[in-house]
This record gives sequence, structure tokens and C-alpha cells, in this order.
Amino acid sequence: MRVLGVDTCGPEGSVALAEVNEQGVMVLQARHLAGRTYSEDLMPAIREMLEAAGVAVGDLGAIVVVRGPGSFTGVRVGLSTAKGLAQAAGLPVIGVSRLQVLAQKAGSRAAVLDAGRGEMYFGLADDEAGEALLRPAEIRERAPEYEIACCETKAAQALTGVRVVDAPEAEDALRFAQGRILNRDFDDLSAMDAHYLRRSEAELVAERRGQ
Amino acid sequence: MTEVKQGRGRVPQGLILGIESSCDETAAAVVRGGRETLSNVVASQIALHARFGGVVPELASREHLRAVVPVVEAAMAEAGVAFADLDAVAVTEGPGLPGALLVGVSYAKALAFGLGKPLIAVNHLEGHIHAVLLEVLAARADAQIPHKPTSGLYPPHEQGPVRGGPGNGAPGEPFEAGQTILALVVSGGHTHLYLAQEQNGAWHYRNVGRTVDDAAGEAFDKVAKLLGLGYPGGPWLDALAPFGDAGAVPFSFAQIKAKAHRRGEAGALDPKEATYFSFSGIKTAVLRYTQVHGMEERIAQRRAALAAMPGASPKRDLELVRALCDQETLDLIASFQRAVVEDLRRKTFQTAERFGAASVLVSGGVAANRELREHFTAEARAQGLPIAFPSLKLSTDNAAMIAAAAWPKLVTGKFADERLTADAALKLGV
Repeated sequence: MRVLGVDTCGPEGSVALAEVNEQGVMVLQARHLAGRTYSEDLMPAIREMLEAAGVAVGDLGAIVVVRGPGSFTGVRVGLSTAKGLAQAAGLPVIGVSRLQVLAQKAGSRAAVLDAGRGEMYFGLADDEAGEALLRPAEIRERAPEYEIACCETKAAQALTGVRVVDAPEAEDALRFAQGRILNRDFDDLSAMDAHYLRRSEAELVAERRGQ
Repeated sequence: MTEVKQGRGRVPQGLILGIESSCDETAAAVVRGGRETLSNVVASQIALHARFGGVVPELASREHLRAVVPVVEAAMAEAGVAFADLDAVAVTEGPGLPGALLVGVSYAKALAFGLGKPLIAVNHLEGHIHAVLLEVLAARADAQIPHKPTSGLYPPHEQGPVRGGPGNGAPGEPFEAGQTILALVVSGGHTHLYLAQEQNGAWHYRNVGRTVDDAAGEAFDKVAKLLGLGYPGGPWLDALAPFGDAGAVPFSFAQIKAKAHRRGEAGALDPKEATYFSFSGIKTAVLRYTQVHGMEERIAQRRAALAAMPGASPKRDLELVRALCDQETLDLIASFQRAVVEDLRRKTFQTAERFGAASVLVSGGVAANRELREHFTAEARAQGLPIAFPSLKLSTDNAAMIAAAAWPKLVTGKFADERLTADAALKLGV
């Protein structure tokens, strides 16, 4: 099955096209995307990649999209694009967490991503529901002995006992989703939402005011 | 990219799917040939933002992402057309909230690419102008069908195109190609005057007026908020104003001239020709009035009472909310609304005269205001100018207007590039 992968959550993004079957994930095409211009660059990159592989959108078997956590705008550009493509061609979708992709890529039992403001997105492998926005000290309380995967120097400096790996890319997301793709464990396109892990500033302010 | 791919043997019908996400409404609509609305679906976020007293951009963006697929599905189903039947996908590229716009733009680009259909980028302000033109064209098409009465199109409170007195029977229909139309786009985000003209199938715009600070609708929202009324404020003030004396509080508008340093800016209006609005002063004047007249306590009580009525609407709960307003407050509301409406009316018709406009159209959320419609209609009649407003459904943000504005672009082959992105500060016209 030909599957498209999209990840525009981080400071740099990527797209990948792969043949996914029982044997594994064979990457056919991949493109890197510079940060900050995802909305301009994402569609042309997908088009070029599909053309280079001679694959039409309708030939795809599924789309895997990284739903976050990361840049709110980047997450939404990736998800909106995946939704548009999937709706046009009637394709199934799978949304994945970037923390889970990172943990699997590093072979670690936990992963962190820098969330700015002295906070980090933290998740244990195979526990997307338990992912949270935490301070470094809280992370060590939750995972005292785990080796934690990270891909940013900022996060590596703030925590001890981390394994620094290259940032996860769209092809890593495809590898992470291989099992779900083969089991046809797809998400509902209408309901698929971003994985922000951080609430909006307005909600936090309202909460502090006790509204 | 600009090549139009059509299904083999399929006859193009001018079917355009429009998508709009510039502020707090996620909308999708299917319009045929710029005049026949097959569906017009709007998912409003008003309830989501109401507790913050205004639109929260990040929350709006989040909601657009959740709503876009079901809203488009509903628009397609309601229109009874398949994606394969579409001739193009149109989307609002700006102006608006950047994060909100990006959801619609990213989604529409992918949808168009996935369908192999051309993508058309539409300026939101041009959309508002076409909301009116869409209904003018639809009414004209209906008038040509003898068995279908046009009078049923617009209920009395949802006034459609109105012809001024002497303009009746003049050669050429109002809003015909080649005529100069003066368009007032007035909403919570905009107060703009444009000269609009159709030439050889394409529309051309010239910006001849704008606000130097708040939009008129913004003033309505802010005044409603400072009087302890609900959000959005426009419909509340509209509903309460008839119970007050509009002559009770005299508000005045200063003459506004473009600041010298602004004149050289790119896109600056020609100061000799431009009309300027300003609505931040009247908001401050209302605030000062409430302070001078010791109204703070009553306002706080009203605010608390309304906080206990979440989801209160001017239609359903008018009597309850009116009972929360003393006569002094009702007079203040009526006087504020009268002052804003009269300022808009005076400057709009002065501009129409200055440029010899053949007709006037008013669009945007504030075009739903009843006093504005009455005063503009009376003035147009007195001057013999045809005037048109959108129905209430098309006054506020919607996607039918985006699909309608895209039609001339489909005809003239003006398609968007695959690198299209949101332009939050997009200008309309020269």
C-alpha cells in the first residue's frame, strides 16, 4: 500500500511517500520543508513527490499525519492539508503523536519535546493518552529511571539522562504507524483533531480568574 | 497549475465550492454560476467566544480545524452535488485572522489538488460585495420566470434589492456591467468604501474610504460590552435602540483628515478623494457618559444578570434584557446607534455623489442593522439611487459570497497558485 506521511509540527518539517506492507516501510520519496513557510511549501512538496513517484492522490492507500504536539500553526497546516487530500480522494487517515514517533525512533521508553516557556511536552511510549505539558522537574518525577528521547539541544540541557536523536520525520511517522496501517486501524476524518497538549492562553487566563 | 482539468464529457456548470474561515465562522457553500446558491452552511463559533467578550484567535483556529470537514460535507450534501461535479474550489485568502485563514487555505489547496480542480483565491471584502450581487442576480433570474414571485424572496425584515424612485424604469438594470457601484463594507472588522465595476467579465475595485481606527461593528460590540450587554453587541443594540430616544444624547464626529506621514505610504488613499471614518471616539464618549451619569452600578448589575443567562439572544430574550435597561441606558443606546448610522449614511452618500456612482450596496454584519437599512433606503430613494443589501443570512460571514465572488475569476481564468497562503492584511482594489 502506498502511504503519504506528513509532519509539519516541528521547526523543520517533512513529507514522505512509502510502500507499506508486512515486510516493512520502504520509503519511495521524501522531502524536507523549511520551517515558517509550511503553508506555502507543503502542497508543492507533496505534488512533486507524488509526480516523481508516478503516484496519483487516488492511488494512495492512506495518509499518516503527525497531529502534534508542536507549533500550533504548523500542526494545523499539516492536519488541514491531510484532511483536504483525504476528503477529496476518500482516503483513510491515521493521526499520530510526535512524542510517540520520537520514542519509537530512539528506542526509548519516554520522549520529550521543547514546549517553550520552560516547559516540555512529555510522553511515555505506548501511552499517548498520558502525554502532558510539564516542567523538567515534574518529568523526572514521572519517569525517574527512564532514558528519555529528545531531539533538541534545549531539552537535552534541561534534563539529565536523555538520549539525543535526530528529529523525527514523516518517514518515522510512517514506520510508527505501520501496525495500524496494516490492521486498517484508521481515524475518523471528521473527528481527527490536533494534539496540542497546551491550552490556549485565553482559556488559561480565564481559568486563573476563576471564570 | 492554471490548466482546468475537466472530467471527460462533463459539461461545466459553473459549480463552485466556496470555503470561508477568516474569523469566527467556518463556512462552506456551493453556488452555480455566481447566482444560484445550492447550499450555504455556516458553523458559528459565537457561543465559544462569548465568555471572552470577543473572538479569541487561537480558539477560532482550533475550532475551524475541527469544523472544516463536516461543514464541507454538509454543504456538498445539501447542494446534492458530488465533488466530481465541481468546476473549482474557492477559498478566502484574507484579510482576517492569520491562523484561522490558514486552516481554510491549507484545506482548500489540498482538496482542490486531490480533486484535480482549479483553486480560486478570494478576498473576503470582495466576498461581502458579491453577497449582494449574488442576490441581485438571483432575484433578476427569478423575475424572468413568470410563475415564481420575487416578493417571497425577501421577507419584509430581510430586505433585498430596493430600487430608488426616479431610478425605476431607467435604461439598464441597476448593478449592470460597466456601471460604477459604491460599496460600503461594514462589519466588526471592516469599514470600507469601494468603487466596484464589472468590465469584460472581471470585477475591478478602488478603495475610496476606510476607518482610521475601530470598525463600526467593533464600536457596536465595545459599547454593548461597556454597557454590560452580551456579545456580539450589534444585534443587542439593534434590538434595544427602538425603545430609546435617539435624540437624547448628542454625539458628534470630528472631521478626520489623513495624517501627513501616512499619505506617502504604499496603499494610502488619495487624501483629496478619500473618505475617513473614526469610531473609537464615540466609544470613549459613551464610556464617559456612563461615568458622568453614575451608571456604573446599574451596568454591573446588568452584566451580572446577563452572565446568569448564557446563550441569551436578542430575538428570544429581548423583553427580559429590556427590563434590565433603565430609560437612560435605552436613550444612550438609541443615540449611539443613530450617531453611527447617520455618520455612515452621510459619508457614504457624499462619496457616491463625488464619484457619480450609479448605485449603492451595503454589506457586512452591520448591514443587518435595521436602522441603518431604513436610513440608507430612505436616502437612496430621495436621491433616486438604486440600493441593495444582502439578506440577513448573507450579511454576516458566509461562503456563498466567496463562491459567488470566485465565479468571475473562473470565467476569466484567474486561478491561485499552489503556493497560496493566508494574507491577514490583504487589501482590496487600488
